Amino acid sequence: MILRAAICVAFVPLASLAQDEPPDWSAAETYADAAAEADPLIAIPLVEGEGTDGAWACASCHGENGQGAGPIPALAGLPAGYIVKQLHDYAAGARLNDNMQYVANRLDATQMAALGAYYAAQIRQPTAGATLGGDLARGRTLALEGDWTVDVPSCFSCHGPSGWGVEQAFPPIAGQHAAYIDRQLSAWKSGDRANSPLGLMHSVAKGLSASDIKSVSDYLAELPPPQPRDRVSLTREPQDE
Amino acid sequence: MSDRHRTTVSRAILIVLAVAALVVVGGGLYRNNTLARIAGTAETESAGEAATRAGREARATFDDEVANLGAEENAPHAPAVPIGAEGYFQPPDPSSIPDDEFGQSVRRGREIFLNPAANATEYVGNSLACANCHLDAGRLANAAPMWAAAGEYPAWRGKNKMINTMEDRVNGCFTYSMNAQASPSGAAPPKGHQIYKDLESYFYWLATGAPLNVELPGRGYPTPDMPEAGYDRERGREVFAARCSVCHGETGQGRQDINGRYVFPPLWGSDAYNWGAGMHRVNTAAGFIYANMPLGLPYSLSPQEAWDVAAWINSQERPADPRQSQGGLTVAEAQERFHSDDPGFYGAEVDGTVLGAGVSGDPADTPSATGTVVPDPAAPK
Repeated sequence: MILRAAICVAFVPLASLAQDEPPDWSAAETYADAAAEADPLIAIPLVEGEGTDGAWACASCHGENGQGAGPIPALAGLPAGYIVKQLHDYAAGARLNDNMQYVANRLDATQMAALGAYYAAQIRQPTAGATLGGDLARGRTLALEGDWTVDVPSCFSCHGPSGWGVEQAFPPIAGQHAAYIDRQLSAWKSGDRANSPLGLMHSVAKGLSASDIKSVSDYLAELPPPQPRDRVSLTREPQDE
Repeated sequence: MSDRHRTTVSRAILIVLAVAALVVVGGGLYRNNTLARIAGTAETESAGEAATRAGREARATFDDEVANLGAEENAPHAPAVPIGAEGYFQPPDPSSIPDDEFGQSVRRGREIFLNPAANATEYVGNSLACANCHLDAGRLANAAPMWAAAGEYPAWRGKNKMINTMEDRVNGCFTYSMNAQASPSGAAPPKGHQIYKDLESYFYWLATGAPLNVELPGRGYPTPDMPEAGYDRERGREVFAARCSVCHGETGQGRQDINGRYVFPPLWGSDAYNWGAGMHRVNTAAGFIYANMPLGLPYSLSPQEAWDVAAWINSQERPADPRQSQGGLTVAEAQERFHSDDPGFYGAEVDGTVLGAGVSGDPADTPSATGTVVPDPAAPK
């Protein structure tokens, strides 16, 4: 099943043509189901870098509670299905980043699902802010109204009215680190990142200039971050006897 | 020795001159971004910024002309229509809404248009917003812009066989597209209601400088001719799964944010437009979809795909046509009287069921496009 999903991700256009295959975007929902069944406690040694097969501790870059910094994204409070899909995409080469591909290639599907559940349950702190010198007014226009002269709908028309995301396939963008958003939008624009549903993010980013990207990244970073919908207990239950 | 010395000195001078020339020429090339321009990678102004600037300049020119109408002998006595970067009418920027009583009405109208369930709660019976189909707050050409509609009324409409003012037309939007029969008040706003005035103010202001009684390019939806293969809901089902369900959900019921507000609108079922709405016609929906869907990917579906997926969406049950449900008619009678010219599925048998009987949900469970609406149970029905 996981292998099939990974193949779907790697051959998105083929998968969408093949009958009886779920559409590529539904991978995030499938992975969310897996994360819902996973034990988030499995993730803790991975986050801390204990007993992993050469993979680095997630916390060594993403911080202790997945808050991220600079170009390293905050993971806390992202949808579990979105996180797990990104890990599978890294492992399958559908999303490119040397560090993340190194790590993802050392995780199995169960560990990925647990990491998704773990980070989705973390509380995001408002640590991001404008760092790129972007034009916040222009960023606000792009986030709230879009720029229809270049077929760019507002960020919020898909990522929700507060930028807090919509279900599994549209992650929250409010309160994310400006340098990370800037890098991702630039990568979508150039085609270096190409794993969004229907190529929607490529079509959006290609209408934006480098200064637009800075502006909207700074604006989004200034917003209050989302909070997790479903809190799960991450404290270890005392063992019986 | 001296010859060689001179040679060395002149070589040194030549080298210094060459380096200086390189610095000057290279610096000039760098400052002017010449290489990037030649390579096509120069980043001066984005296409969006350029189009926005062109739109602003068109409006500024218009404002100047209006300010100087007839001021001098050779000055024009009527302003030219302001045209944006893509050749369509350029509506004014929201920042130029006047700071007076009229401007306040324009602003209220705009808020109703964007969030009718929150700002016209009593008269909205589903989870849609005007701006779901009239994109960019009613400004976008080929997405039924309100600057084009504003100058088209009064007009005679076959739908109700009478002269319609803009208020009559908007009453129809509430009655059908917003399914007012399921709203807290059970009907569209009564005649003369402030909601009509505010919406009309917004449309009128958007059309500042547009000609009256002219069918402006960009009006309505550019429905492509029906393909030779007609339209087919089963082909449309596949288009929907591949291209639409990521946003509208596999069963077309939209998607909500963590606060239970609709971000992507439902397309059928009890929270969608009813069987009397223009959008239930396959041709109308095909035109909207072809030119505007998915968001950000306009014209990415073929005309065939647009017609087919419109057929899939519009062959699902939705709230009843109030002319039928409130008029004491059977679906067959309503089909004969109101839908005989429709390219659509009203009264048609699909999967063993005749469509049109309608589906309604509990209004108290209806999430709004902009915030959960909790109707007052004591409100008169």
